[in-house]
Amino acid sequence: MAEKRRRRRSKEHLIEDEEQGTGVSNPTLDDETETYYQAFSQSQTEGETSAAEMIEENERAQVLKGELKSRHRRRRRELSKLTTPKDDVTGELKTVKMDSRKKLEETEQEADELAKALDDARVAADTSVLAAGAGDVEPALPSPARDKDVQEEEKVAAPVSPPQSPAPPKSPEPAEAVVAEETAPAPTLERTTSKDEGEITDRRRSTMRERMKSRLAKAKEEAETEIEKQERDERKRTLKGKKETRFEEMDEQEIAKLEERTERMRKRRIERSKQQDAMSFMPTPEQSFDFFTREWEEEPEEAEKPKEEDEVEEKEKKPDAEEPETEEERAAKEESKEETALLVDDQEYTEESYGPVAIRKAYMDDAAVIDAAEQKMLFHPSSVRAPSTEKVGGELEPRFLEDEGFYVGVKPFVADKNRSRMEDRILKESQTVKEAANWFGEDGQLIILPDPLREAPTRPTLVEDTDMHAIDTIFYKAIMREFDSRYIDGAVDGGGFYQLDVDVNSISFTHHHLFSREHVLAHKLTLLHSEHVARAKRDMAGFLTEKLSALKNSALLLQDYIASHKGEMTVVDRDNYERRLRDYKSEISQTRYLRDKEEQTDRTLLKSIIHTWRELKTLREQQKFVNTPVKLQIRKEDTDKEEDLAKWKLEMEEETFEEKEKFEEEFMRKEAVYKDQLEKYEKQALEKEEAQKRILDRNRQKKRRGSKSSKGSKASKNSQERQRAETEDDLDNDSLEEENAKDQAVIDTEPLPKPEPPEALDERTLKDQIKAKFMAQKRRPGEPKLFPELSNSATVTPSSQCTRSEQQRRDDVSKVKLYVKILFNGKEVSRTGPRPLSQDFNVNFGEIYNLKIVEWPESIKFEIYETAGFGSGRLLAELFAPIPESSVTSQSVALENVEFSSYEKIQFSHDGVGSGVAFKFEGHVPDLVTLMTSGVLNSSVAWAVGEDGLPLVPTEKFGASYKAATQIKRLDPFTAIGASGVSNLEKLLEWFKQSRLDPNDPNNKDIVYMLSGGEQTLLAPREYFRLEPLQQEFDLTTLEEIEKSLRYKIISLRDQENPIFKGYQMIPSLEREIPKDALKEYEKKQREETQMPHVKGDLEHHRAQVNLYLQKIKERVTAQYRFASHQKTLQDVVNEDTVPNITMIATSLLRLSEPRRPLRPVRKERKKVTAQALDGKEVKILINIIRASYIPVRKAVRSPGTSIARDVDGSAITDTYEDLVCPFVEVMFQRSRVRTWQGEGPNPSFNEELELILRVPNDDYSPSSLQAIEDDIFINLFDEVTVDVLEDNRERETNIHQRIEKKWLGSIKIPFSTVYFNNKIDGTFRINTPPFLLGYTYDMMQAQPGASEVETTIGRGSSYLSMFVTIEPSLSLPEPFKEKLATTEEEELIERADAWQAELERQFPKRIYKTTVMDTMGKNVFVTRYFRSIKPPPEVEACTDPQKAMEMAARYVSMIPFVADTALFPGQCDIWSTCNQFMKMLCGDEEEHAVLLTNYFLAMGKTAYLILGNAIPEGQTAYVLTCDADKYHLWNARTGESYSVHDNYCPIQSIGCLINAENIWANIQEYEKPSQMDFNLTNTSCWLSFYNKSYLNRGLASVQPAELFYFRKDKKFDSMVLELQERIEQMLKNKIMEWRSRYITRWNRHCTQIMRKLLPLLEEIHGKQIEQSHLRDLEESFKSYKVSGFPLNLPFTDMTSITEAVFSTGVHSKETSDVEFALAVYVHGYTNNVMSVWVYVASLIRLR
Amino acid sequence: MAEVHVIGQIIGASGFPDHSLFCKWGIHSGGGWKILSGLREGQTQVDNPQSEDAAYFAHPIDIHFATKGIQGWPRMHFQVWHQDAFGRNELYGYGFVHLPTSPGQHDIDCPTWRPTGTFMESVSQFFLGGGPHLKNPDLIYSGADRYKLQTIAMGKIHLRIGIILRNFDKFGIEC
Repeated sequence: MAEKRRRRRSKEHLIEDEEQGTGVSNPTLDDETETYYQAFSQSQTEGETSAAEMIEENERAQVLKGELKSRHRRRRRELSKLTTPKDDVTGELKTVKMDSRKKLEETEQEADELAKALDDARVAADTSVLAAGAGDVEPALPSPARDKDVQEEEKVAAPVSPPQSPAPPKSPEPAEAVVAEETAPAPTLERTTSKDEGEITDRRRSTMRERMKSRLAKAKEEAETEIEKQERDERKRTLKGKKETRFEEMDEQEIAKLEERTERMRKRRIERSKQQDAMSFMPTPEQSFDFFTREWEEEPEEAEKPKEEDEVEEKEKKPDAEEPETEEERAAKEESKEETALLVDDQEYTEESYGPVAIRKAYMDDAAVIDAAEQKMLFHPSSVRAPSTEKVGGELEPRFLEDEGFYVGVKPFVADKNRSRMEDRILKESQTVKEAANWFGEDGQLIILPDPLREAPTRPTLVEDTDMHAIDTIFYKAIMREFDSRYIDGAVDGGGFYQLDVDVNSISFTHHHLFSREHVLAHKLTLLHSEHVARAKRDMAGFLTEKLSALKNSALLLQDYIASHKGEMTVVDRDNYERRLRDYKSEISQTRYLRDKEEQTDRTLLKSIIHTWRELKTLREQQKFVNTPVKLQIRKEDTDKEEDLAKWKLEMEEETFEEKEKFEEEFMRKEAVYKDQLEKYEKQALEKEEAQKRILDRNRQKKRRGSKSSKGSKASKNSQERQRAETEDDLDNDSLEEENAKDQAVIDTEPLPKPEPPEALDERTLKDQIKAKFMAQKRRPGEPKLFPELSNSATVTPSSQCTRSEQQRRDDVSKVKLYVKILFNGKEVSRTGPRPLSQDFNVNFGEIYNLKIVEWPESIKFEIYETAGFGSGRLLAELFAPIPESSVTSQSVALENVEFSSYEKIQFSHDGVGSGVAFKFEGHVPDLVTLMTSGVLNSSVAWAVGEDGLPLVPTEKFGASYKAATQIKRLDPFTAIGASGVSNLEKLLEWFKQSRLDPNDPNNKDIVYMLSGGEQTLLAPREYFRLEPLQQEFDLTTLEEIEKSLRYKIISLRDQENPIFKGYQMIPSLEREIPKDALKEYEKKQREETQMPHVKGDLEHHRAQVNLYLQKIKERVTAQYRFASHQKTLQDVVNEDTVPNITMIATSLLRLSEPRRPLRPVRKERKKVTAQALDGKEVKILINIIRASYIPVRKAVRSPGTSIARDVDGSAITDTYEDLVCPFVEVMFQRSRVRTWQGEGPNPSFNEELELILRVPNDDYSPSSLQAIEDDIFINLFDEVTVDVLEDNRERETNIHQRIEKKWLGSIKIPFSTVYFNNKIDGTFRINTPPFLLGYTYDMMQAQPGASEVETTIGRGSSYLSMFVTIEPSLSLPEPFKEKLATTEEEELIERADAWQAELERQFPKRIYKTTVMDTMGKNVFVTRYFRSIKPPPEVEACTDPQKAMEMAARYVSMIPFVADTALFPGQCDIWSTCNQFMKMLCGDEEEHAVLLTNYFLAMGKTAYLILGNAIPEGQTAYVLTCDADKYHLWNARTGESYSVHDNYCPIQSIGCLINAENIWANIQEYEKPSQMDFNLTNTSCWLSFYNKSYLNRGLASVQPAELFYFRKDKKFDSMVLELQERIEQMLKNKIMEWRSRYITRWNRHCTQIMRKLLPLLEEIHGKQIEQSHLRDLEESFKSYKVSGFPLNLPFTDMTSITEAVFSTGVHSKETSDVEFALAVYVHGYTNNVMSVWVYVASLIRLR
Repeated sequence: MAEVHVIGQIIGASGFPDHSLFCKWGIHSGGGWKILSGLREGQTQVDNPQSEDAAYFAHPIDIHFATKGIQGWPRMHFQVWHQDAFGRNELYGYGFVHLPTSPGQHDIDCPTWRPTGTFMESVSQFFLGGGPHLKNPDLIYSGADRYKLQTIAMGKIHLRIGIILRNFDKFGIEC
């Protein structure tokens, strides 16, 4: 370690030195200096020897170092010169030579010095050595000198190294080095030696002596090599002569350089390998070298000399070969070469003299000498086989493994001679090296690996089995991808293979226009006959006869039974039996009837057959030829007349009897009825008579009385009495009249018809009837039974014998050919070949057509064509085949007959009867017959069956993906491999047994192991297999851990665009940097989704359920939308500006010429800023409040009596400034507020611009996240009241002590999304004011006298605010969602809708038109489907006044909470939910409200439409339009307010279209404001309807439910509502106390009581202006208070929203302690948990 | 808990008989791999270059994997399609490469091949377009025997993939 450090240090020194010297460093030189310097520095640092010695040596070393340095410098110079261009080379060569000569001298001196130093250092130095050292110098004697050097070194090293290198005794190197030094100085050896030496110098030499010695050795070496070189060069020169060109020299130099480099590399490599070798047990190259050369060591010392001589000789023999090997000192090489070259030069000059060239004789040594030398040097192993004992190792016996049963294997063949030689050599070597024993095995043989090669070449057999389906390919045609639902797999070539097999078998005509008359008849006959045969087969008559007799039998039995057991039966039983009997009887008559009918038809059929046959016969006779082979034979079967007659009679009897019985029963019934009716009739007649009588009586009475009174007056009776009588009379008269009327009514009643008595049975007629029937229907007795038999045995007259016209007909028939076209989905897919029509009018095709289909089958059509030999022919008929069900395959299908007929009229001049033409049979058939060509096609359509036996039926949607999944499973390589392995194991075992493999053969190890199962359980296959046995070893972690990782979870959630993490920009890279609660919100949400939150109360529970439902829908829609939004179209990616056309240029030119109007500035269109461009800038919402109008003013508080006393009071001051108000506007957004300055009066003008900063979650300004902002902008109107709180009147002159109070007057709430989507909101808005504001009143005087009635009414009770809201900078809007959504509508309808909408949007780009909307399933639904009359809730139905009912409905709908779609479904467009979904969710946006309201109105019998348009402040919205007797009203379904269309303050600004169930009407008028529009929908110039005459209404079914389910309001509901009310009140009270925790909050119970009474009243009138009379009560009771407060009304969603609303009014912020509060809550529950919550908050300040 | 980010692009394809190409790609990884973010498959646009030497897609790939081991190292598989003048698409080649396992940027060429099919098929392919497809495209990257499959070489897909490895050193895997 220390050494290393030292070396490093020395290196540093060196570098310094070098830098001082020349500044250029040569690595080779550095190396050299390093070694020297190291030696020196070691000598400096180590102080083992005496100081004197050290100094001495130091000095010497110093000198040496100096010398070396100078030499280095010189060399460097040389080197630099060497690199100069070649022209100078010759010049320089000389100097170089000079230098090198000098250097040689120097080195000689050096060597001298070193030797001396050595001598000095070693007292006990040998003189002979010294002499040798001196002799060393002589250049002429190189070899002995070297020899001695080596010897000397040996001597030095031998005694020194063992004791003085204790540190690395384990390392083999020193020993090796020693050995190496000792060995013969063969050139290669020398190199290694010197290197070793160098290493030793580097590493181990720790003593001075050693150091010195090494230095000496080095120097000597150098000298040696130089000398050697010299010698060589000399020789070379002698060979080549002295005429070396400089180029050669240059070459030599270059070669030298190259060599130098390669040498360096080699050295390095060797060094490295040496180091490596040192570690391994393999013999190093040296070792192995030693191994081979050691032998020579054994020889005695004297061998050395001659050997050396030999070497010299060798050297001489091949001097060139030595050249690359001699040198190891890299830099020194070339130099020495130069030097030697010079030296040789000199020498030659001196010795041989006389010129530079000397010619020498080639000389050679004596061959014998060489041989001898070789013999000594070389060793020839003998080829005689050595005894095995020797090889095994003496004492051991050779052991033969094969004999012992071990597997040995077949060894590769080696010739015996060679093997013996090898063995011999090894044995020889083993005498010196012990390890040689390893070469032999235990059996005394050389260890030879078994032959790895097989004897015969093999190749893997190709598996010719068929289960290679995995790599099968299918040929696909080039695919044209259509985004169309027509295709089964989405594309023309989607992958599936579906086939329909269409079998067209035959056509047979039932009528053909080429039929002759005979044909017609023959056909008729065949038809009749076949029917007859069919009937005969069925034999219904026979069956019924059997049945009849059986019934009769059982009826008889039953009758007998009843008769015999009458006494024993109970009443019930009897009833039962009688009923049964009746049943039997009716059954019998029924059956008889049926049988009779059957028999009749049979008979008529028979008759008509015979009749037709007769006709045919006559026809044939007439025309004198036979056209058809039809022939009828009638077989007779004679019958016994007597027997028949008997039967006939019996049956007649029976029937008459039954009929009679039936008739009697009937008669009885009828009689009863008759009697009853008669009675009634008589009674009525009687009554009438009586009534008549009574009337007459009364009239008479009246008359009499009239005369009586007149009599009375005459008689001048007591006037009083008379009066009384008169009144009595009057009364009497009245009652009489009444009675008369009654009686009259009785008389007037319709007289009952006089009943007819039932007729008695006429037995004769009955009998006659039955007889007639029998005659008509039955075979008469004695008549033979007839069996017609049809055969085609008649011979058809050959054409030549027929008439001319018949011949023509036959010709025509033979010309006719037919073919059938098969059309699939309206496209012809194939057609049969034309087949001739046979003379019996049949065509046989018998062809099956395979249709490979890619589209969903919609229709399969056959077209039958007829040709007359040429041309494409005439379409005879079209007929449709049913699309087979997926279960119908070509294997299971049966041929079916499909009838067809043609309506074509064809007439012929020949015998053909034609088609559609009336013709007449000649002869006795008088009537005309018209027949149409008709026939039967025998065909079938079925799904084909594939080769694998599976039907080629397209699976339903989603089926495909499922299939794919299973396929993947099937192809999983692991399972595949595993399965095959297992299945093959048995086969393998079998094979193994058969092949009798050597189980000991290591090659079979695997297989044996596998089959043995690792144990001794015979060769049974294992019962399990492992997929990847070492899988777990390689696992870094488990999947669970990955799942658990918070960071991973967040990353993947962000990727999934989970709403919480969507905008997340940076996720820490380390797990620990992630806050533990990062997922808290997400998990909470998850939990909320899975389980119900714990809430009190049923209503809130319901709310929670609603939220859950909402969440589910939201998820579904989000998923749907996300999928769609990631599908990019070309337009999404490529933004192509429209090319400006001429009109655009014209308009821009026109704009230039426009007059400037500085007083009417137009707002400039600002550039939209994208989210990326925003980057760190703040986004502001600018609100420009312009003015307010109709603000309520303070009401004077008059308190008589105290007015003077309160002169100084604040309220007294307001008295004087009555009707004053100091309003200001405060805008609150995201809990930050800004306000305007206070204005004055009820119509203040502010003209102020307010700024609010928009804060976006996660700083994500992308449209989707902006859309999701749910915050509202609250614009509150307050009145600023200054209250004087100065206590003491006397201080007034000096002090001012006032308090500013703000009183809420009203507010406007604008959702941020509205501003965002509309970019700006500009206009006058109605401020939502409470129904009444205590302490404020509207200034009636303000109503301008000129204003219309409408305006004045509007002006009352509502304030208005003009403002302008925008976002700065203008943010880019989300791209409109254009993706074509999945739809279930008809393709054609959607197409038309799109075109219609696009056309309108082109005309009126700003108006809103809609034809389809997205439903909660994410599908497009045609908008008219949303309309259907729906029964309104019971509250509404209870209203009798239609106007009231409408208001009630509007109120009900408005009480359903509002949630914007953008907030509900962030990032998505408008989604329309159906009414029942809306009811279930109990929240929705304008559309849902408006749709529901429209549907209610429709149910109430109104004409109602949904309006889509723009309104302020909500922007794009939906209203409801009702039409009532030409009066149009607009309803805001969200607030429940209605406006007349003429209302100027109506918030709706633009109407786009009207929609209801029947149609969509688009506004194509010039104006879009309702007040300017014409609402006559029939006016086509104003309204463009979707459905019109050319495109009729499709009558689309509604998606709405037929009716909504309304819960019944019961007691439980009421109690629930009450409970809720109490809870809200309690909570609000607590909250208010909490908000003003600085002060004591007192509650005024009295006030609360009064307010509680008031609130239900407000609900009743739907929060409209309350009458003053109601308020008076409140005001009266709080005369001594200054009351300010207002009721709030809001739909119930949850508690927090109520608190929020109350908080925003700021009622609680009365910063005094002497204030009292009143709070009343009223909850009005409507059906289905729709709640209207009223909160009345007021603050009361006692007046002093 | 080692992670692998694959960020790069499908630069283009060259050496196909005709241009106007597009490419469907997918990444298939073993069971122990979980995709944290990014798409595992996609399709490029159709590139119809005017210079006929190569089609350029410059289609970005950005996937983030978490893995439990190095087994089932992800591999990309491709299908190159050709769109002819009639807008019909036909298969031009299948190809697959393993993603590099060493971090840094790698330029990878993925050679592709296409099944040849019978003589008749090649005739109809010559005149009508289309061509044989693999019945199950898993074969592109699965090691199942496919020596029976006859294919011809098509062009190359050029990829430039940057791999970022994380935490592999923690588990003793040197990169």
